[in-house]
Amino acid sequence: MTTAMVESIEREEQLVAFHLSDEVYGIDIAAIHEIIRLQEVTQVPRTSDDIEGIINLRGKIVPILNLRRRLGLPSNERTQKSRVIVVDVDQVTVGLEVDSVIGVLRLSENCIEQPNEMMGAIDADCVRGVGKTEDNLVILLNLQYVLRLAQE
Amino acid sequence: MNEDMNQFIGIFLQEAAEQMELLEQDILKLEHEASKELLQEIFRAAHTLKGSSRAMGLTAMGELTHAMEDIFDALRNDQICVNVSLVDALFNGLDALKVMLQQIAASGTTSLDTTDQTAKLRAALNGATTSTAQPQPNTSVPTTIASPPETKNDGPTLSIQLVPGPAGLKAIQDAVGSALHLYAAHMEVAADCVMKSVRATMLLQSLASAGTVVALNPDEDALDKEEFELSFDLAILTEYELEKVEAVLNGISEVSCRLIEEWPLEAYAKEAAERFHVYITETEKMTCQEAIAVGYRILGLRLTVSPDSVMKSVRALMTLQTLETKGSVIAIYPGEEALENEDFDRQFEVVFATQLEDEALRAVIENINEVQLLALEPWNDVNYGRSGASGGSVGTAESRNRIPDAAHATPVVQDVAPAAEHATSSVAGGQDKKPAIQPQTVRVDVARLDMLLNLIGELVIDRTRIAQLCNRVAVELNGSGVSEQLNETAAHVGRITDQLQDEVMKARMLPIDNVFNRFPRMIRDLAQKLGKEINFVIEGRETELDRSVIEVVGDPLIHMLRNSVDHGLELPDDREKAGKNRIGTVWLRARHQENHIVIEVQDDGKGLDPEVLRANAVKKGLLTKDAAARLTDKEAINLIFGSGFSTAKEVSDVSGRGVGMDIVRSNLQKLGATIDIESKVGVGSTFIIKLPLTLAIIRGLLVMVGDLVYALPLSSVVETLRVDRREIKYVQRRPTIMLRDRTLSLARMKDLFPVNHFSNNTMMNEAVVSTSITQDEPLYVVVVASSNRQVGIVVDSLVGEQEVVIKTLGKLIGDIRGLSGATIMGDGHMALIADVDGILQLASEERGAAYAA
Repeated sequence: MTTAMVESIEREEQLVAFHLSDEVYGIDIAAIHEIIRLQEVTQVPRTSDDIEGIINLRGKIVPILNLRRRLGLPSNERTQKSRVIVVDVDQVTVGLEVDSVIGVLRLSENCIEQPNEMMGAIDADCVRGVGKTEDNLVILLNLQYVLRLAQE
Repeated sequence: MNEDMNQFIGIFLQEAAEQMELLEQDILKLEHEASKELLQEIFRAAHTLKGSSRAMGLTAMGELTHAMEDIFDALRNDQICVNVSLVDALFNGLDALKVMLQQIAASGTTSLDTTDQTAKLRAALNGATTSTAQPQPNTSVPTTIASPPETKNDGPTLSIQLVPGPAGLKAIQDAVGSALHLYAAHMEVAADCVMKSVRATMLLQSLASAGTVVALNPDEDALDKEEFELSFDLAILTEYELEKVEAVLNGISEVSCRLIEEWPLEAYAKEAAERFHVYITETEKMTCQEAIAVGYRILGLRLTVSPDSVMKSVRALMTLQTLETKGSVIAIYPGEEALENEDFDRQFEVVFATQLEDEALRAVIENINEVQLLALEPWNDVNYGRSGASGGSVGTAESRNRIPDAAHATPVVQDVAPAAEHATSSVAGGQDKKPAIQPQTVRVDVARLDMLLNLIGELVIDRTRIAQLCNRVAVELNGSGVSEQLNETAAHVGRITDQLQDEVMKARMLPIDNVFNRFPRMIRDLAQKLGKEINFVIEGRETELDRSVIEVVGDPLIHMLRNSVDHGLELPDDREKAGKNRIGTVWLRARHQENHIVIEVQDDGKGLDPEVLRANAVKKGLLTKDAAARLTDKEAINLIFGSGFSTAKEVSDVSGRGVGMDIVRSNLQKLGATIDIESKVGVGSTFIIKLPLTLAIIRGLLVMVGDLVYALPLSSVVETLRVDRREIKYVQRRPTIMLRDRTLSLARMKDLFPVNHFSNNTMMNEAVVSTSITQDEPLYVVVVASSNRQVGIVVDSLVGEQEVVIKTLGKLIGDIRGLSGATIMGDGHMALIADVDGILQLASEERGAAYAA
């Protein structure tokens, strides 16, 4: 059913894709405020482990969430490629620390599948679907859920 | 409610809430002093509320307010007297209105059935009416309230030109058929009189006892401000005979009655209702003449908004707009502002300059929805400045279309009164009437003020940063002229920022009365319910504080006042036995003190008894007997802030179940406020709350802990110490020092605020963090205190004092115990703002943990 014809009519999703460990994740581009290099993070005591701290984003205080730890992935050293993706979800601005950013990805809707048991490594509720590209699988994150977890 | 209405509902809700607030305060006052001014104010508030709720299509609300309005109307006309059941019925109605307003705010409509309240109001009115049987219910005599300020001065009737305002007109219409007389008088003040306005006012006062002044020209305002030449006209409704009235009129020295005539009540009432109320001022007259010169015609239009129109102001303003496209609107009655505020009774009038023929104009107006043209007449008296001659709208026929030739052409004047004086008085009145008073205030959206404050916050941060940069530049450029200039500029920017901050803070200030005004009602209800007699005294209600504080301070105060009334004050009989006045007094005071607002709630009740409190704490198992005995009296009194502590023998539905004071304190502490109690058995208690002026910007003491900077609110910092480690003793495994003969327990900031061990940043520091307090260098200790508890916080170093803008940590992180937010410092780094109460709690928990270990 995925003829070129059909694909062109299908709705497309635009995502920003990034690496966490060896996996590729994607976030809806509409939620993304900006992508910045990792800057100095001020730690905040008495917070859960996956809160990295806060940063000063041009006069605004933005909390940084360590996405690896949030998703239960093994931790990794920061590298030159580490980035913070600043997202706005439900009027909450949060920075997500990721290993590296790949770029913008267009996925036709019929290339997206519902999450399945394949996603054993991370909480299935955090995943909204899995997109297939030519050479990779992209795990689409359900940001509302990812962030709501953090507040509890 | 249709779509159109929704956009107005916000405005309606706000205004209705304001009117209700006003009503509530005034009804309360009513019990003590039923002055005419007060009644007038109440009546107006009720009337406005009725009008706007009807305009919004809220019939039930309109009905209820109408019933209330009737009572006020009867009160101000002295037909009935204030009594408790009347006030209760009014409050009853007001409460229903509040419920309705809430429902409307929530769902856009209300389903509350108010027939009961309305019936009660009607019953109260009838009951009161019959008890003070008055022969002429609608036109009682000894009042002065016929609203002279509203009186519009218009067209000549007989020899004296006077047209009553709406209130005066109503009084006249009501008087038709009664035995009252209507007299018009032309008054003159002696030419050498020094204080004309005083004479005029004295006259009006003396007339108050004779009857009701229904029309005044120029109006009372103008008289007060001496905006009249030597003469003025008035109409009075009275039961007196002519001679007697004349005697009263001549009863004030330097004022004499030049002309007095009796007007036929009925005819005048009819005529006054028909006459144009609109008039033009001297300047407008010239505009008219210019317009005539270029071929315009001047018309008087009377228009009405159809009764079923929901937004009459909108219709009226639309009409004006439409007219403006066809000519020029010269004068409006009532003023444009009144139209905007719906402050008119469907009819409005316009003096209009146009080149259109009558028929064309009629067609234009017919096209405006929900607006009808009642009268269209040539405006014949451009020179005179007001409409019509003696016969009102009909009688002016022969003078119509007269071409204005001389600037002071005399209109039809039949009697001795000099024409020039008529002209002067009408002009004076006219000038005054023109809305010269521009609104002095602007309503600003609260969100915009908040935004402004946020921006200022940014500016404050940058100011600090610039100052730091200046220092660096000074070092690097080594005293060059540029650096000096930069310093000057920076200092100037700094000063302006300070001023800006001050001004914006002031703009956000509201008088604390916004909170206080709801309390008298509450106290009254409580007193009734508890059978206590209370004199409630509010002082300093004009004290201003930031909106953010106003919003949150109300609830704690409610608890405290209830507490004072319920637990503090004794029953009247008990008070008498104790040799006190039967009537207990509760004071609520507000005042500024340095950078704080101090609010006191004081009662002259039985006071808090430390012995009783100790016994209670033991009985409730909160303390051991020994521990209780060790408490100082002050500490014992502070027990009432503990949770689950209630000293009342019976739990009443007023003060609840002993959670009150607990909540009070925690809520206040969240605001950075402190609370203190002074109490003396048998004499009374005083609760003293100290609030910060604003919640957005605080002065903080910056301290360094590990590689984090914390800001401790300076208001809670008692002192800073350098402590020799050898002075530290361990009491129950907690480090403690002696400070001026008292023990001070210490807590390490690092222990209170552990950071995540995961983070890459601080891995290295872990070893340092865990070093214990045993080495040789001195320790820096910041003593912080809140509500009589204090603790010494051990920090690595002191950084300095700074103004910090509190920013939230965001929803993701949420509330963290012991922290109230973060701030950005001048160098772009962030500091965490500590919450001293949280710290005290954490410290005491840690103590408990250490003890258990």
